[in-house]
Amino acid sequence: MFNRKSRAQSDFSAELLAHLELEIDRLRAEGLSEDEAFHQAHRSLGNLTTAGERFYESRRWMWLDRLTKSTGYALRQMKSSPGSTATVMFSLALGIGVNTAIFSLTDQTLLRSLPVEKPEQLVLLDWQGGFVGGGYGGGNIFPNPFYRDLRKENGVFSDLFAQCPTDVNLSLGKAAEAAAAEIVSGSYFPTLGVHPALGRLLSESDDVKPNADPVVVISFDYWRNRTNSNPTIIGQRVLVNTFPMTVVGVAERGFHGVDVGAVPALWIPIMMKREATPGWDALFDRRTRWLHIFGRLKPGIGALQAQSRLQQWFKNYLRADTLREGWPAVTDAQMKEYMASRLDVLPAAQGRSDLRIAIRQPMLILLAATGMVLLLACLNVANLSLARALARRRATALKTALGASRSRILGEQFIESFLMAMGGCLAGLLFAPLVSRSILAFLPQETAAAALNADLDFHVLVFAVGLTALTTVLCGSAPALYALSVQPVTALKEQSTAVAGGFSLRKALVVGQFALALILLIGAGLFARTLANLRAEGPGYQTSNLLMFRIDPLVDGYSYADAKPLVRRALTAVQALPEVDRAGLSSFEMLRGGGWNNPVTIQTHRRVITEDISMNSVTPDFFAALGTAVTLGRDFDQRDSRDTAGPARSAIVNEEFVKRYFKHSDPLGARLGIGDSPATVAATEIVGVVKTFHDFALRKPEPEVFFPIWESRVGGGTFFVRSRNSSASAALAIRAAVAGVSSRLSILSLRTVDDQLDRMLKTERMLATLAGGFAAVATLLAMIGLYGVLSFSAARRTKEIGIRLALGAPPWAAGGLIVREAAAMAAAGLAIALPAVWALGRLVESQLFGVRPMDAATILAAAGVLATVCLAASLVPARKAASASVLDTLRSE
Amino acid sequence: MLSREEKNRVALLQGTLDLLILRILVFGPQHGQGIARAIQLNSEDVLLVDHGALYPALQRLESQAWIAAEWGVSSNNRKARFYTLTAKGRRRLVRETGQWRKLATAMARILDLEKLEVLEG
Repeated sequence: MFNRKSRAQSDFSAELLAHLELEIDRLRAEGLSEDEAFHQAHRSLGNLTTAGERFYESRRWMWLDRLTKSTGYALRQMKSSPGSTATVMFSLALGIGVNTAIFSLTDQTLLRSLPVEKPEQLVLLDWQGGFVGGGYGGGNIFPNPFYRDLRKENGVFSDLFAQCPTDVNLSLGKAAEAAAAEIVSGSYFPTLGVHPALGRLLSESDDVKPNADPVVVISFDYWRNRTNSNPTIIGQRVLVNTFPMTVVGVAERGFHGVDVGAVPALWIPIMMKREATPGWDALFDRRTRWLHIFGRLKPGIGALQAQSRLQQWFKNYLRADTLREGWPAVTDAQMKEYMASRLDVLPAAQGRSDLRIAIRQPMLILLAATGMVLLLACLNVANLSLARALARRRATALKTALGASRSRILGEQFIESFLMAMGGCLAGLLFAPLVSRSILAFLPQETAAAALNADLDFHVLVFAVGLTALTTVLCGSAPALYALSVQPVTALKEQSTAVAGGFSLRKALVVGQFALALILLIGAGLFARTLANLRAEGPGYQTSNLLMFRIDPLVDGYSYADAKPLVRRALTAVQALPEVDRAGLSSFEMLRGGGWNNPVTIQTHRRVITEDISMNSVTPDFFAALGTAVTLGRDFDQRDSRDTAGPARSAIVNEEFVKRYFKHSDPLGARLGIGDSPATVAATEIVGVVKTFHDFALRKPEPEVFFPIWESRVGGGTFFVRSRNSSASAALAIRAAVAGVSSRLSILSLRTVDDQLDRMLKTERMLATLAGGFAAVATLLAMIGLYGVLSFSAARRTKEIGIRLALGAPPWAAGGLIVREAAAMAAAGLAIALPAVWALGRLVESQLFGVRPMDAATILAAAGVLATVCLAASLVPARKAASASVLDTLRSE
Repeated sequence: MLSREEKNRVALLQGTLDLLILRILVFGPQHGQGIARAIQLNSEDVLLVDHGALYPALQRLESQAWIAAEWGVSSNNRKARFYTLTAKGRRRLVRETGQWRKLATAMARILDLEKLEVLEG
């Protein structure tokens, strides 16, 4: 093979020529004339070209040769029309880039398994039904004693572990800073199969006695970034919420806990709960849920099988629970609901993630939207390729006539599509990280940016390669089918402009593009209106010059006894500042999506039990600082500020609460109590009604009850400060004032309320911005496609237009022909899009606010945008048609 | 328009051209046209060498390293590509010749036998 390759084609030809000369010499020597000798020599050598070809083919792997040739051909074709090649690459780069970016984030948040041993064996437990008691956390929560009981019942799990995310103040000898932590059982690391990078991990022996083992494990990233990979960290003492604990190990590199989207810096044993969450531990409390329970299934047991096997144990647990000492008095309905509870076993190879729960739907919507953008880009490319195939039809016909095989012609078409798809893919991969990064900036949790990354990895590359293959097929098949359908005879006979076949296909592609663009435009419109509506809704009070921040003396190492006077002094100091107009305090952070919920028992002439009601404790000036009016009764004042910590004596409810529970009676003077059991004492008097404002979420007005903060236990509070002038100068003064009260107090998340609202609306903003971006891209692509088809159509109808003009039609009518063609395609696109929007509407409905999926105004606006774009795209071809000279057009061909 | 002479010629059997080329080259280096001419002359104009088939055959033999090639000058001062027999080619020739003789003898026997039977019949 190799020495064959070394001989060039030209050398072979030279030998044949030399042969001819020698043969002619000989024949002439035999007496033939020069002419006769020449012909006879050639005749006896046979066809020189055939000999050359045989030589050529003997030397190569033919398929490789064909591939190179077809590639060369495709490259030449692409080079010969740089404009359309650039358009194609650009379309595909956009399509593949946005898809890759969204997929990368979807993969990281929704699809990827935890980096632990056999993640597919992991399951998460979920209590379905009524629980008697309270809880802290986002869902799938259990009391610690439940976890300990279940662990003893070891039928289906090789082991179980429990986990609870929290935030702590962590200090490595320097100033304390907020750090995410996981409170975990001793079985956590062994069950997950995570190894230490240094030292040891937490084990059963750290999980025996409350407050006995002050040890922590820190994460690899934290160790590397904060201690500079210092190996002497092992055995060192750190302060967790000012409580000293010893670092015993560093976890495996790349392990970030079981919550995707959270980046825990350290792991703390469950038995140290009181130190990790100052003020409460609920370690042996069966009525308080706060732990997530994970199990590793025994080999060969599936989640469903495990679930059915656990039900009997669970029923027994429920029955035993009701017989236990300390079981509260409950209503019959509560009891029935409690006993009907079910224990679910959910597959949890990807762990449990609040971030995932929050952004699952938005991500899927965006993935669908990018899929549409890619489809649209493919239609565009198919359209352009089809245009080229049409332009080349005579060349193709000629090739077929000369004996080119179909496979060869198809091959050339697909190679061209593949090259373009690959170019688009490479360009797309270059800009995918930019898109990812801008999406990360929108994600709702501050930790998310650290847990996710915009870099391309193996999964994403595989996805991109798959997309490229798909794109090749999608883009290549229309022109390839067309090329196959070309009959050489008809194609060669035809005049170059009078082609029919592929044109209706091109029009159909443009209609498809219109439909997709319209769907995306309507979607973008809906999300934009949702965001605008939510912004207009606002929290229900004036937010200008309103600042918020939090102090948590308990976390800073103070006791409850010290905390309340500190918070009180801090509030007085802030209120005394000249920059401050008014300031108030609430025990729970508002506008953060979390809070305190409980059913309430209302006692008037009858007893009413409410649904879960949001609650908060506030100071007398709180409503005044927000600027919300007390519309009935009175605000809290000195009468509600005695330094006690018993059940509240007074409460203020909002108008929504009155609307739901006091339709026909006066709320003032009514009494209520927290809880819904028969034993609940309704001793708290409603003293006022305040206008409804949004405390936790903006989407719907919620009933809420406020209690006087000074008559409760206070560990910390969120300040709301209305400044007189700019918030910036007030912020500085506030920091100084709080530091004046105690230098140990740290100020957390000091920001304007507007800023906080923006943070709350991040998901909505992400959807609106990205959907808008995708719609713009889609519209641009559809415009390009339409322009191409109309130009082609105008050229094709030159003769027809010429005749019309000759018969006296005004020039604008000629242009109108083209515009009408565009309008027909747009109308067909609309007809396809509307049912699709109707069907897709249900999927996005939960993400909308104040607007229906089939919102007429939005649909009209989207159609208007598309009509404008349509007109713009048809302008140039139409004007060209209108300005055509009669003589020229009639003479052409 | 074949001459009378050409009519008497016999086309080469598949596979025999290679053997003939090797055999001719035993006499010394020769170019393609010379090889064709030599086959024709030595077979007393019976064997016709298709010039178009000759060169691919030479190429084949060269790639098997049975012959080697080099550009040179012919007796009448023309440039030509001269082929020589390699040691490997010589061994090949000996083996092929032996096989060919066996085949030819066997063929001749059978053909003669047939002639006898025909005569008897």
